[in-house]
Amino acid sequence: MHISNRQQFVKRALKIITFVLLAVLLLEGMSKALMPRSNSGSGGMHNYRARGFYGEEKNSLDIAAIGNSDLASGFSPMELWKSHGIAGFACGEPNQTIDQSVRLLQEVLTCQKPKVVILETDTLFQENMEGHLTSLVKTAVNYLFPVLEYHDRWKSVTLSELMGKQQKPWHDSGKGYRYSGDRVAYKGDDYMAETKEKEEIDAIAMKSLDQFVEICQEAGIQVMFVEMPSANSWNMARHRAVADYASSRNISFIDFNMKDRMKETGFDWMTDSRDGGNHLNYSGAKKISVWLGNYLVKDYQLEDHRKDSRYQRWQQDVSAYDRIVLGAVHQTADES
Amino acid sequence: MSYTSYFYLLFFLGALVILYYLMPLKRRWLVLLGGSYFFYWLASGKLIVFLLITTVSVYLGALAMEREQKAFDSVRKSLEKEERKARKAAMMRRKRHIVLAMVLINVGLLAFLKYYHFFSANVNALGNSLNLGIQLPALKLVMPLGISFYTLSAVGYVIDVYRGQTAADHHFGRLALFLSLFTNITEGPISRYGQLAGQAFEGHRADYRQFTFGAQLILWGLFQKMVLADRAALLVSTVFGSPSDYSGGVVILAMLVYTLQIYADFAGCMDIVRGSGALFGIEITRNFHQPFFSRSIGEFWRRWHMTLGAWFKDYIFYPVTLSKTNMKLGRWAKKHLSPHLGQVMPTAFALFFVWLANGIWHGAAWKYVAYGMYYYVLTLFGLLFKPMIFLFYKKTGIQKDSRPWQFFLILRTFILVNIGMLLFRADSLPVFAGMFVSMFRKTTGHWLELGMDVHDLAVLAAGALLMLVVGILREEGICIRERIASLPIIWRWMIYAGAFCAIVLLGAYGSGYGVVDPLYANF
Repeated sequence: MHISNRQQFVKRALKIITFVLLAVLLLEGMSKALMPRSNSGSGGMHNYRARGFYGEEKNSLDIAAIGNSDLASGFSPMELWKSHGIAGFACGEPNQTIDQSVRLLQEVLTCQKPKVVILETDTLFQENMEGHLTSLVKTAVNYLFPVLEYHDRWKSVTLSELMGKQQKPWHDSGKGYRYSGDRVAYKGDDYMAETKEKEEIDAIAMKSLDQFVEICQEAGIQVMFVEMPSANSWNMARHRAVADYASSRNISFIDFNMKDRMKETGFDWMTDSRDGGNHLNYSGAKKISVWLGNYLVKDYQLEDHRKDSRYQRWQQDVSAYDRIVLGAVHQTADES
Repeated sequence: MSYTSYFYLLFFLGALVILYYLMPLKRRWLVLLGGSYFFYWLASGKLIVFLLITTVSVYLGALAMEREQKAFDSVRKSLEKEERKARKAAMMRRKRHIVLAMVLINVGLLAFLKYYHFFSANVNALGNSLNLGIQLPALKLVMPLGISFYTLSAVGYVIDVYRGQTAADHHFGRLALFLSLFTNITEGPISRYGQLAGQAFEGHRADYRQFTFGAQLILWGLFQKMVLADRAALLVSTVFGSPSDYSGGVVILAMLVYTLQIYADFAGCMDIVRGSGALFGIEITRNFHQPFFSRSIGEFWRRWHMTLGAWFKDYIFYPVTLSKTNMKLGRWAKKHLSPHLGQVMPTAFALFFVWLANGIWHGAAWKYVAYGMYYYVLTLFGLLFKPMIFLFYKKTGIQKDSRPWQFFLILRTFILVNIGMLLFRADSLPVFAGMFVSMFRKTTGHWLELGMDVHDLAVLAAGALLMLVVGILREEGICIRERIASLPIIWRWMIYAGAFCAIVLLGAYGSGYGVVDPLYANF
């Protein structure tokens, strides 16, 4: 280096390091300032529908299901409550990738201690435009410095929010379920046709999956895999990949696309999809959820909380939920 | 790999900088070569073979011409005058064949990959309308990264060797580095061998000032691209996406905002690229010189995408003007038309090819041909009416150099350039015509319903103002980085930190924003 003396070199090196530290501090500061103060849509939270669990009593959930929009449309935890008194939540983010599933699980575990965690396995094969590695890095960076995710909030942040005042969380009486009364049948061919192929799970996705399972195991949570009926994103090759992984680790895997399973639930592609094979409507979600409820009660020791005074609000939620699914009321966000 | 991605800014540049300065001085160029080929592989994969074909062909071609020249030089003293003349002519002819072959191969490759679809579509259409039964097959061709840029650099090199302006490079690695340097490969600047090859190959010692200036330039470039260009894209894509829905003031606004977008995008990327080069002690040529302060179209194209204009001037304009055909044309015009036209016609003839090339270089569509011809016609006007303009100044007594008049000229050029940008961005020639005409009608559409809210527009306005101030300072010859560097540390750091925060907060990235590819990247 062209340095006149060692002192100058040290001085310059220190300047560079200090500036980098300053940049990190600024990122921290901006993140603290712009992070949403509540889990509601109006509070600016992204994918707030998957984060309604922040509006539940701490450590009150028995089940947390994590996945993408297939989950949010196909799993209605209130059905489990109504028939068995199980407290569940559906945390479904559209186009969620498996590394995002891990992050969401970690978020759930900051305020909940579910006995069972369900992973909707579509996320294993969700690859957004840039591939798994870029997605992983971007998600990690966004969690490290939330300003990178929420920087647009400079437009809407209020003074009280800047002061750090927390806001009342949004309470979702639908428990993350996205209701739809639409009916568009799937009339396509057999997407679960038998094949010798097995689709390889991407190496980076696999690492995230391992991490997901490990987190559950370390927290003493029972993990299970589920795949909602999905004609556009599922096939036998993917089933095989997940089934192999699940059996090698002794994890239950319920694939509702398998013919015998589908028959048990009474699911019918003619009546139970809202968009022709991608997402379920209420009719389909009810069938799946009821079946899951029976299964969970049988195989896992879950309490019936309907007489528990701590779960009074859930009883109130039932009437709000019923009004939505009976079509009396439009499901809106931000019901506090 | 986008120049504005985390991957490029943190990992790629970071790793390359560390590796570069760890290497012994003489081997540092290897890091740049390796990095550039890695960069290229990530972007284009197997298509790297085209870059290699170009590199190998011009390498061998230049050496072959040098061999011819050397062979002649070694015997010329011993020859009689007549023989020497004959041998020299033969050697020149062989050299010409070599350089022509080089140009044909490389420009041919570019032409084929880039223009085959345009060519075949038009031939088929013509054949159909004339019932000729021609049906050229539709080929799915993919363009390797930067082919429009590196091809010109390569052809420029081989012509320079032909002209004796540059010695042929015996070092393949140096030539390969010159053509593939990751800073220039995506969207230029179109580098010249004489300016870049040597300094890229030379190992550079770490220079604190150059390094920090480079980092600051990258910051400024990021600001222009991410805060201004990518934000402007929201409004531009809304209006240009359904042009029939808008008219009047909205179309004018969209045109102006597009001009801002393309400038902030291209110049911003150029700043990132130049800043990146500075991190390694390499000076990358400038591609912009405050273009909107131009007082004429000619001046504009000497200040906008400077390396493209310079390339056309050196490798198309001069050869054509100095050609025998052109000289004959000039003499004929002087004799049969007028002395004025005798001067103008050779220039006009040469310029036609320059503007045709400029137009189609930008894209394989009639719209781009029209784009080139638009500027050709404007330039032609300037040439033809020069004597009349001179008279105008005399008669009216207007001082050409006076401030108000200069301002008028700048404004006039700005308007003409904007119309050119409207053509450049519109989906097609007919759409451009429709949009142009609609500017004179009543306004439809509301300025707050064009994909940007009042905050976005405020950021854009403030940013444009900042760019104007920077432009004015630069026009005055002030080096802003030096001025800032001379401030006390607290002020300096506030400015750098402020720029950093502005990019993080106001950048148009993340959820809610689509990815905006650099506008000149797919060439």
